[in-house]
Amino acid sequence: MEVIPTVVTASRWGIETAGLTRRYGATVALEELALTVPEGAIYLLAGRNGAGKTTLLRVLLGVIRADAGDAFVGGVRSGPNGAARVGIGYVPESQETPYGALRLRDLLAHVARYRRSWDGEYAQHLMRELELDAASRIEALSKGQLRRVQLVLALSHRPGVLLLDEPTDGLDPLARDVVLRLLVEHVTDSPATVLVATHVVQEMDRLADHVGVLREGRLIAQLTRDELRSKLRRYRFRAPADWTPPELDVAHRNGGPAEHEWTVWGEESEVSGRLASAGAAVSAAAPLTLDEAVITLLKLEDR
Amino acid sequence: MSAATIGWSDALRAQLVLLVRVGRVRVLLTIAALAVLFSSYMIWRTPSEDFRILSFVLMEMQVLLVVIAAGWGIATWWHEPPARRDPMLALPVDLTQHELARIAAGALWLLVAFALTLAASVIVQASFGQMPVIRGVAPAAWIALFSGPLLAYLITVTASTGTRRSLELVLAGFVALSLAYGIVSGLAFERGGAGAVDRLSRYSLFMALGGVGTETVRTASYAPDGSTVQEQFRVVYGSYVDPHWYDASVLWWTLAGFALAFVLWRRRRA
Repeated sequence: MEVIPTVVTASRWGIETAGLTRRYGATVALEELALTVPEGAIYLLAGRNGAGKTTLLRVLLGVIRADAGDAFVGGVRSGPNGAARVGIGYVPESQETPYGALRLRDLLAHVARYRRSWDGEYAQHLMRELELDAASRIEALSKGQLRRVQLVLALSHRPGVLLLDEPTDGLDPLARDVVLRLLVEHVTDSPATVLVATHVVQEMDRLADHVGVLREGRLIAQLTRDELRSKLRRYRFRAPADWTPPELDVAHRNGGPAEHEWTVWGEESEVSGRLASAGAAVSAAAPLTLDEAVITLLKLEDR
Repeated sequence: MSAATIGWSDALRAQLVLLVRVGRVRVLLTIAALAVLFSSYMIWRTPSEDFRILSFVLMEMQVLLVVIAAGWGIATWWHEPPARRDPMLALPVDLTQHELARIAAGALWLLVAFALTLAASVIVQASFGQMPVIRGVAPAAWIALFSGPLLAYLITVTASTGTRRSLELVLAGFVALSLAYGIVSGLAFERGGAGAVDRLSRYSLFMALGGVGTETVRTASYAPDGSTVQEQFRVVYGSYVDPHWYDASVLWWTLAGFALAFVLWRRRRA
């Protein structure tokens, strides 16, 4: 039975962790994590609540310490000294933003004092695109507007690495669309490695070229989107009542006694061949959407 | 550290500007102006024959300044505990330096407000024909003068940078400390009488916060020509001024330093 890969290959890494472990008392948030994001990749990090996604991002930022292992972002070791953060743009999970009495333009000016590569014109462009008023006070902004402010803060210094934790959480559908468009424009103009942790997986269907799935702090799958698309497929077939099913890496079984619908991991030609050899007539072998694929991978561990 | 990270001085400058932009400094200076008015009123109502016992900071002013400083510590980073500062966590600055810069920025603005208040009080006092004697004030006395407000600020700012419930924490801490001090004083009285309680009080936080500033400066100003020695106390125009009051200041500065270092170390280890 073929194993779902947890290793991707590349010549240069935008983000790399090795043996990364973080515990909160008896709870293991990250366990021996070896996450590798190729430079310039858009990497979807999926997982259930409490899987360790946010902890991972905070370790990468260097604001919490790993109990063991190493983390490098843009080739720089993550740590409290802030060296790795020079090249990171970060959208946190929470929309809470400090300095409520501050006007938006003053918040941008404040962050710009810390960012030597701050691009003021680009910040203004993002503000316009995201329909933010520079004269607004932070405390007067809605949840969705605060999320947009966080995106402006994350992108305006054109970082080499973007760590986005639920970047579209709290946004209305139109704003989500704008944000996703701006992200695409951003990585086109300023090549960046993007790590997106989100539950809204379907949004990343058109963007993500790498996928990682975290489960209870462990990486249970890490592969390219192309590999996922080509190897995890849903097969629809008819089989005789007395057939003997072939040995396959079946992730999910559905359908009735006559028509079956199996989600199987493996090369399509090999899976279809084995089904045919067992007497099944395959009528379709379709790739899964990213959302379906992630759900399947998450369930896979339960077998 | 990479050249592109922000150093301590840049972070401090950014935080000093930030406190102006969020309007906190405006509030502090308004309160300082009110303190000057209060000081002026106290000077105005003091009979001229009692001017000789006035230090240039009135006892009431010292306590008021400590209360203002404690409030400033809570207000400076009010409702901005670490959990709310997530977007700022990505800033390219050493976490400890950043935290210290935030605390130091508040302390510097407090000192500015304090110095302005004192200067204004001196001018008011001088306008009544009573120029305080500032010459010859020992450096330790100046440190002690500023200790009360700064210590109060450091205690409360540590609470406000670490938790959402800073006001409750500070009030609870004050009540707990008062109770503990009362109990320890009672025990000291039982064992060693009034002398033991006196010795204990010399080192108490309340002494460092409330008493040291006024009395040390008064000592420096008036003791040379007005003091006699009774037992171990210097008597300055009828006020008891214990030279050991400097010790309370030193002791609590040291403890505050350790507490701050511990808090920063814990946060860095998180």
